[in-house]
Amino acid sequence: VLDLLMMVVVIAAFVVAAGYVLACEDLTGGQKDSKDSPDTAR
Amino acid sequence: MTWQGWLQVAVFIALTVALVKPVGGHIIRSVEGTGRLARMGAPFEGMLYRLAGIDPAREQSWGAYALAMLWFSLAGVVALYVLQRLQNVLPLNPQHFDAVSPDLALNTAISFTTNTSWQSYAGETTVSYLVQMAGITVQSFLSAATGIAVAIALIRGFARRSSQTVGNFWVDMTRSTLYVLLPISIIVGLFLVWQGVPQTLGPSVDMITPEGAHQVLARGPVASQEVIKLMSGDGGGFFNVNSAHPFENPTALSGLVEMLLIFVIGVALTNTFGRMIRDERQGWALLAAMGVMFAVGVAVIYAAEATPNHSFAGLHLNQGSDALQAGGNMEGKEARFGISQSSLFATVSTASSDGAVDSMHDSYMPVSGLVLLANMMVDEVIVGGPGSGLFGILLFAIVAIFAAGLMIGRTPEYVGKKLEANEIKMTMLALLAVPAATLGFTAVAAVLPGALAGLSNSGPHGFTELLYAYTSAAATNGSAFAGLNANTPFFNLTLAAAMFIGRFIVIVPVLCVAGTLAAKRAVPVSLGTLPTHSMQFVALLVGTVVIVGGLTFFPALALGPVAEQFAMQAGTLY
Repeated sequence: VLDLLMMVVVIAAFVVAAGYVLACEDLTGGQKDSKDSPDTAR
Repeated sequence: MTWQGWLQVAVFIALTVALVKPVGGHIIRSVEGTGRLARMGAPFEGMLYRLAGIDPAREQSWGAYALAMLWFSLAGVVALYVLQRLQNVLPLNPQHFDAVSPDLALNTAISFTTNTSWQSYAGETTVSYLVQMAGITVQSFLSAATGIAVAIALIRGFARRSSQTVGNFWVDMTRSTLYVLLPISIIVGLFLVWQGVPQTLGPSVDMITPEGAHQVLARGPVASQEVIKLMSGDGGGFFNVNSAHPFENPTALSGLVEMLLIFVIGVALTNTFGRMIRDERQGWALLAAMGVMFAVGVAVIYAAEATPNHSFAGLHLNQGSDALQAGGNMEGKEARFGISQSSLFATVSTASSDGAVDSMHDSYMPVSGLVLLANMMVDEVIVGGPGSGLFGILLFAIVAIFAAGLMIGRTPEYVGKKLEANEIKMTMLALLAVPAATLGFTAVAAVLPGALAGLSNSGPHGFTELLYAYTSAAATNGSAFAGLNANTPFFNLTLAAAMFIGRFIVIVPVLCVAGTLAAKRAVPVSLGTLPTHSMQFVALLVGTVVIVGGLTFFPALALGPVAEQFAMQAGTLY
């Protein structure tokens, strides 16, 4: 039972980490060029 | 301090710098598959891809790269856990060890998969040869290769223009293992056997010492594990006392080679970075920043350890250095290595993510303990582990340039890429993960009676033992301060959680930065571009690391080694 519990915890942790990947993708809006970002040099 | 001691430090630094270019070039040729070794191994490599159903020509977005890394690491954790739990019914267990307990097995599985190698157990009395060879050693190779792959993906992010991909995780990991880690392990493994490190599947030996006492001499397949233990940034020893054991580190020469192994991949990757972005000066600047922080650390520790202990002043002991004794603080140090090499090894071990030890850090002076902690707290940027050191210092470079950009009102850019909101958000996520895990778990442990019962010392020294354990785990270093009985369900599980956060919650945003950078076009160098290969930038980078690390961890350090140093000078010991 303890072994099963440990494996469930491990798999859950990695699933959360995978969700973290998706959250980061959302946060950054995917992989795209930022051509609209102007240089603010004065 | 002696001139021979400083000469030893100087020789080590010179040899390390001499390895930077050749190994850095070898890493590029290996991961690109263009080197001689890579061409020779191509048929075998192709066979591995066919067996695994992988198309090596198909590149991945950063998200796919990160998910591949995560699922591969999950498989590693499960495999190592199962091996430990079944070791009593599996072969190559001549000492007939019982199965490892569930919480310890989980801690060890996560420890070696995350490239930490925190050990709550003594290897020679807990795990079988099969677990050492097929579990721990294999994970040392694979976790190091994973770190190198992530660093290469981040470098591609800087080097590529308008690209939707950062490489193929499976190819980067396979080539790093086959052409970088394995060849060095085989060659240096034979060197260590020559120096006296055992390599046998025979059981421990019962013997009678010259004094007539009965003693069990543990041995096993040590040499094959030793090299990758050091080079991988893993540091998990075959024996409990790690590289202080004469079967892991028999001579002063093997000690020097072991320190070089710890640093070689980390320093070489700075050159790999410079070459891949076609400006080697950028790599040298990163190495210079690492070198400054390392040199300060080793100087402070060597000076503190070589100085007579104030607490013994009333005893009228001779603590000076002469022909018959090393002098200074020899507690916890091997007479074979003395103060200079022990101080150097301790600095190398904590500045990298390795965590191997050839002396007991718990016995160092409090100010030395502070430096050892600080080395780990700055997030593995002083060389660090294979890959993790490079992406760690690149994260700080991004913060430094961002801060400089704020000061002059210009969009920051680094090696031709604009650094914008996405990169800064991801960088902050990565940099906050380690302090959050370190300080959060330390705070919880410091108020739980069950956790405090595991401490051997009270007061600031006891707090340092706790702080060191979680710092070591979250920074994926793995060295132990000693003085803490960590083999309890509480410590096994919370340290495992700290290691998991310190590895994967850092790597995911690093790969995200790689992806967002790869998609950008190059920004041409202009008069307003901050030169990032200059000494001015090196100073800015070092200052950023020190300030960010100092602001984050100073309160905790004040409660531990700082308080202990002042207390010791006032005559109070813990």
